Amino acid sequence: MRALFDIASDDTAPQVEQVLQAQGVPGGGGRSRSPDDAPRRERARQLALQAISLYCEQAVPRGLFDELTADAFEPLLRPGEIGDSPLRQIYPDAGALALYAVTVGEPVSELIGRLFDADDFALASMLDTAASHGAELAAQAIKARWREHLLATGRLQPTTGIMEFSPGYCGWEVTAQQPLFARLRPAEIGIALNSSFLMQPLKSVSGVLVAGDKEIFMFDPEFECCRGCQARTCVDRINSLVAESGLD
Amino acid sequence: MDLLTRLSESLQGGDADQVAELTRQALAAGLAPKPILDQGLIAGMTVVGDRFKAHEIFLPDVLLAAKAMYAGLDLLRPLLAKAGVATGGRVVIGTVRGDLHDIGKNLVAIMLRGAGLEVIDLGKDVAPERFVAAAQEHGAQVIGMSALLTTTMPVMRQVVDLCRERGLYGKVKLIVGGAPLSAEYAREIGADAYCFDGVNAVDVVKRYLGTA
Ligand code: B12
Ligand code: SF4
Repeated sequence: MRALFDIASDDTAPQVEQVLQAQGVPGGGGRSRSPDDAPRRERARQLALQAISLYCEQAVPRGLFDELTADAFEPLLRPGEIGDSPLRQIYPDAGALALYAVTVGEPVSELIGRLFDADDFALASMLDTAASHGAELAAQAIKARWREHLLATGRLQPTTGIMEFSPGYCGWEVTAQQPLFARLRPAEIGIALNSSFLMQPLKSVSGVLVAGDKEIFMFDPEFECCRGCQARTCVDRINSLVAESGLD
Repeated sequence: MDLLTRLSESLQGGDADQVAELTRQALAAGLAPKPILDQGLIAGMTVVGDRFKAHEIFLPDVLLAAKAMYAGLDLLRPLLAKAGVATGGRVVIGTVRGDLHDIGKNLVAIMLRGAGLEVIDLGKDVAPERFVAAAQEHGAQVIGMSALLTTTMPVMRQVVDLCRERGLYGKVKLIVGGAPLSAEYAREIGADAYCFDGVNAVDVVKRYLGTA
């Protein structure tokens, strides 16, 4: 099954705390040690709120997913891949797979550019952060749509978990974008791929959604790609998978 | 408190309107543009850079201070040019071809400008030819390149090679930055330096220009 979606921009609006944290502002979790932080934190908060409101005005989130079999997915893992990876270990045991792509559209990026040109750096940077989170939340929205589809087609069990992976992360080479795009055809929602495998609009996310028994996702982050990885996002992802109920 | 100290402090507080106003007042009081720039704007921005490095202030504070800096600089620039005052140096900067990650490059450009340097920002997805042509056209002393993807890092080597071809190598300093890079990679491709952040870039560029 292949499906395209328009998503309400408000449904992808990030929380103010999320934006501030990504900007390194405590309250937020930043590292400032100064006792007179409070007014500057409040000023940053107002900027973040303004950025989120601009994001909601400008974002045009769209997304699609396209299911495929493990056999059809296998060639997408290959290009240039070095060594083993979590995805390579997990996907053969998956109950269902779907490629996906989302974008929040070009107008937000254009506005960020205009704000930078007008020397409005703080707001531009805040909006950039908000839009990056917005793209992530749009990906979560597509994941939720696929979950509904799995439920409707009787493929979601109480023990089912869904995890997403993107080219460029966790040992899946960014060059995989090319075969992924060839199969998924995200041009239909306005996403193009450049010669270095980057998507335009910039605030877009692509990857594969993997559904299966939660057990299959319980990997140890000790792959070749994990050496030197500081993000360690897998830990949170595995924890939230454990916490969620497959039938929610 | 004297006018230039007030100017520096308004800048540190990120008050762009106040900085513009105090710059006007300083000019009206007969101060020359160069000391207003050095002892007011650049002095303020140096404190901001140091406090950010010490984790005493946040990124939005730096960016608001940079906006305030530009508000003053916009008033001084034509006067500095008229008085024949040379800028601190000229840097061409951009994110290399194929790469659209530009947050880090933008920050570096802001910090370099804040240090009184003239920055020609070519944007993102910049072809090697454009880096070299811009450096020649503007007589830049430094080319700064940013890459965040392993697939776009090799473009930096192409810029270095093109500089060799055009006889710029050794004359123009080549600095590189971006999360996947390292000093070792910079050496391997023949760049002059790797910078881990904007404050570090200011230090390195000033050293090259002999103004540190
Ligand atoms: C923010 C970000 C994004 C944002 C970009 C927003 C923007 N306007 O640039 C968004 C969300 C859009 C994005 C998207 C993607 N990204 Co991205 N992204 C990042 C992230 C998390 C942070 C980069 C950043 O801005 N850091 C903050 C700035 C301030 O730091 P910085 O860039 O390092 O810059 C500082 C220094 O390095 C230095 N510096 C930088 N440049 C220069 C230049 C000079 C001259 C000097 C002197 C110094 C200097 O000074 C700067 C200031 O301190 C990195 C991970 C990381 N840790 O770097 C991944 C990362 C770069 N992204 C990655 C990937 C794969 C992607 C995607 C392809 C994922 C996907 N499949 O969807 C997409 C591509 C989207 C697309 N359109 O195709 C990968 C690249 C992996 C690889 N193999 O190359 C990374 C490394 C994540 C990872 N795997 O860990 N991304
Ligand atoms: S440690 Fe890093 S590379 Fe390894 S799985 Fe976790 S997030 Fe991915």
